[in-house]
Amino acid sequence: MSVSPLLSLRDVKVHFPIRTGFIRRRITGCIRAVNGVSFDIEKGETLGLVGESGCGKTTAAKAILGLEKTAAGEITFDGKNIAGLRGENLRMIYKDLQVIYQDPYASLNPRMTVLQIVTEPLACFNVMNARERQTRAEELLETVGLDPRYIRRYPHEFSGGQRQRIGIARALALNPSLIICDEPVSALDVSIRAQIINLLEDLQNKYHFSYLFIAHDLSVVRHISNRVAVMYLGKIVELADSKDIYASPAHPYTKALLSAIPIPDPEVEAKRRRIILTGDVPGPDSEIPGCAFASRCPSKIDRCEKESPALREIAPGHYAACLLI
Amino acid sequence: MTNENKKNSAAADVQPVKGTSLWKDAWRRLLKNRMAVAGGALLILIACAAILAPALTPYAFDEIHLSDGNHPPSGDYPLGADHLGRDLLTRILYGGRVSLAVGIVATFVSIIIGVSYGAAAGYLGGRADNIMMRFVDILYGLPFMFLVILMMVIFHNAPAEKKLYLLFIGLGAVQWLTMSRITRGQTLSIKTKEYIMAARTSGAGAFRIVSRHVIPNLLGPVIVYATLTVPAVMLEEAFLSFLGLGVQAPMASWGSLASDGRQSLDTYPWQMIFPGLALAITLFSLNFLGDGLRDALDPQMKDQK
Amino acid sequence: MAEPVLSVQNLVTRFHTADGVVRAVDGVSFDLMPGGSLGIVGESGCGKSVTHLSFLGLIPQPPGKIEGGKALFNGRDLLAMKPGDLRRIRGNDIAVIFQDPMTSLNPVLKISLQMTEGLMIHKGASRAEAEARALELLRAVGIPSPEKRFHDYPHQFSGGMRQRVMIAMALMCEPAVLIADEPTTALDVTIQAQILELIQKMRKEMGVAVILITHDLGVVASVCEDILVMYAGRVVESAETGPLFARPLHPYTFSLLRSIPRLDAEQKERLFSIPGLPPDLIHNPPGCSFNPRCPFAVKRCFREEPPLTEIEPGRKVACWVDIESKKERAT
Repeated sequence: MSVSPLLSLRDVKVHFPIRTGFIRRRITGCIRAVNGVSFDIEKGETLGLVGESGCGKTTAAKAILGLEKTAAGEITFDGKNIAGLRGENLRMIYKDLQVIYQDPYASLNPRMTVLQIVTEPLACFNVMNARERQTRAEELLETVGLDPRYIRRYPHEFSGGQRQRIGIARALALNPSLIICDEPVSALDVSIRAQIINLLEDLQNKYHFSYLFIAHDLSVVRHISNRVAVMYLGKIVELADSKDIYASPAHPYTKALLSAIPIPDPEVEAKRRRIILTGDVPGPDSEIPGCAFASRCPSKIDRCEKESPALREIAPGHYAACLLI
Repeated sequence: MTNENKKNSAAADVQPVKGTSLWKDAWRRLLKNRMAVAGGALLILIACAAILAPALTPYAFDEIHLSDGNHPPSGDYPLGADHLGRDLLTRILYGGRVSLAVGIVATFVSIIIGVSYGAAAGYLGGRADNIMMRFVDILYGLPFMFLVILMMVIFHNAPAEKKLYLLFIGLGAVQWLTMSRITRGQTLSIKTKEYIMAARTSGAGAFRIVSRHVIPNLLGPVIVYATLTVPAVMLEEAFLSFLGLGVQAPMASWGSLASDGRQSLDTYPWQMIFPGLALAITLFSLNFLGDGLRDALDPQMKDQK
Repeated sequence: MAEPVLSVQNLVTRFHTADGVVRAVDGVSFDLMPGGSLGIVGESGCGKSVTHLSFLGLIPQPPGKIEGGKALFNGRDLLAMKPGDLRRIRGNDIAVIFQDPMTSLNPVLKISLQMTEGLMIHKGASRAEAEARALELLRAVGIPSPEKRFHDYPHQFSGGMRQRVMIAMALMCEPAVLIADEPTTALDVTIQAQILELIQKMRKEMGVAVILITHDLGVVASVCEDILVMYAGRVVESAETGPLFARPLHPYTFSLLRSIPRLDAEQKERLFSIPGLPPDLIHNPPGCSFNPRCPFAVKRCFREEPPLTEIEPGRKVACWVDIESKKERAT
């Protein structure tokens, strides 16, 4: 590979300590929210990160953004190591790295006008004067499909889908090279989701930035991503091209996840074999010596409980972490 | 796509470009509340009367007519006169200046100290928060009114005006503790909101986050509490004046007037009743206004949706 | 032909709020056969939940008001019933499970007590009988070692397990109808698959008729025999599941199906997106509520509200346009 990736994670770990004791609080254990995650995002690419609640996908995003402290590992963004940055050094990375949040009702300050919200990144980095910023804001609103006349309005005067567009405009303000989308459509009405997904795709075609697209819905992630990484309990269990992940899933968890997603077509549904998982998800604080999925895995062997499988390349560009492959 | 989105925004509303802020919204709700509007109007009336006092009465507040000592209410003295023959209406109007000023300025002092302290503690969190709030707890434990009294006794000989400032600061300092606790609690809950995280990833520094994102969103409860602090401070001032530690004669406040009138309650009841009434009406109005503000600013009405 | 166990006819529910009258449910009708399964699909605010809350007497009145219609349960009109009688039917003959089991389970009471209470009160069962049945059901819904978990509190169960407990509890009194209101929305997909399978199994084994309310077309596709699509308080299309998905006849159903990214679709195919905003139930446009967003709308759609008409046996659509020929329907 000649060009270095835009973002690269190497064995990143985020641990939350569990404190017990009343007077002297001691650290007695830890939750391994992100437990050794590695992936790359190329320039202009969309990497999807899927997993169920509590799998650590959002924590991984927070670690990249410096909002959560990493316990180990390296995060390289644009050639610089950004793990562990603080204060002003951390602030500077947001010039190039922006976020679209999940809840369009909670992610916009209710006391600010659309103009103030959209130009906040410009103001924070002292880019442009007030008049230029307003022009830029109008431009941005136009780009995301909102009427620039609404620039003096407040978030509560918009519907969910429109608010999400405001959030997208804010993320675009500084022309970032990477945008992290944290479940950007799951809080929206079904009939609005396609609008936002199409908008995100159009913007990428126009401005050529990269996305890290985090969601629990594999059909949405597969639709928008070039490559998909599947996470389970703090680890990536499979990473592949998005067409391969559906056509030839390798990891038993990916298979179960795919089979569990209902397809809105009864004819297809009738032909599918559904893998119903049994067994319990281990608690977040338990230490698992072997494969984290072993307790629910339909094709588990004895070795799975003792040996932790590493993520390895099973076909060109297709990675999986399973002892059986 | 542009087409569909044009339709999109056009459907939301027709023409107006200007938005309605949550403040404006709350203001509208407040105007619908009759008791609050009545309270607010009464307060404005009282404040105007106090400010325009020189134009409203023919007397000066320290003008003595010994021959008219303890004059009952009449045409010359609408609310009667005190034992030195000073017009009670005039003294109540001038006293209102002091009482209202003490109430408002001391509350203002408490907001400035309390909000910045509480917001800082809440936003910094962790050990800083712990130390700052334990300090507040310690101050809570001190008999603060006693300290104010002590202060007033020590500066007994200071000029009257300086003593008034002392009163402002002293009373404000008593009130800021609760204000800082309220602010800190609000800050802790606002801090976890997604828009604070969004501000951080927009590149906002701590000062910008606190001043532009945290404080505007916690002002609602602070304003409500402030309208309840004003009467509390006014009562404390009255209490100090009652003890003879508040404003000094010939200046007057409603508290000192009531205190003076108390001595002759049996014989000349108007000397106590009218200042007391002025105080009571003001306190009632403030409470109604505070109630109305709380309903109008109730975040559950709007912030949820 | 058997009689429907539940027949809702022309139900109208409105909320009188400060901002205006919200037409939450606007003339909804459907029949549920004994042992049948009906899916009610729609977005938030389409009235799919208010429908069942209305006939079960669970909407706050005021501001809500049921302004018309009938809901016949085994021939008796639930809307005309005294509150006491309705309460006996609720939970006993018609059971409901909600999205968040924690809101329906009392956090300070043990599962054992909450499960047996209903049976002992409604059916006069003894404690031993009730407990035996509860254990049997907990086992049937797949709670491992139910004897051990029986005396636990709700918070000691995981989300999926809690929903299982809710289902077991709903089935205690052998209801004729089970209403599942977004039962899997709060759950992960792998857990969702388990719960949907469980609902299917219970329907087959116990003969309980199921109404599944959801916003997810995929969920109803795999579970329900009949489907009702709702938009802005009205039923816009009702059909058997197979034909509905194979050949949607209302523009809303048609657009919605095409706007969802499908797992088995060609990748990078641009999604069809429905323009505009979800409906505002206070300021409904004249004519069909879907007209501002409809790709097929003709002049008539902006003037007259289309009635729900039977187009083919078992298929009803409320639309002036025959979207297959894109011409106005000759009705």
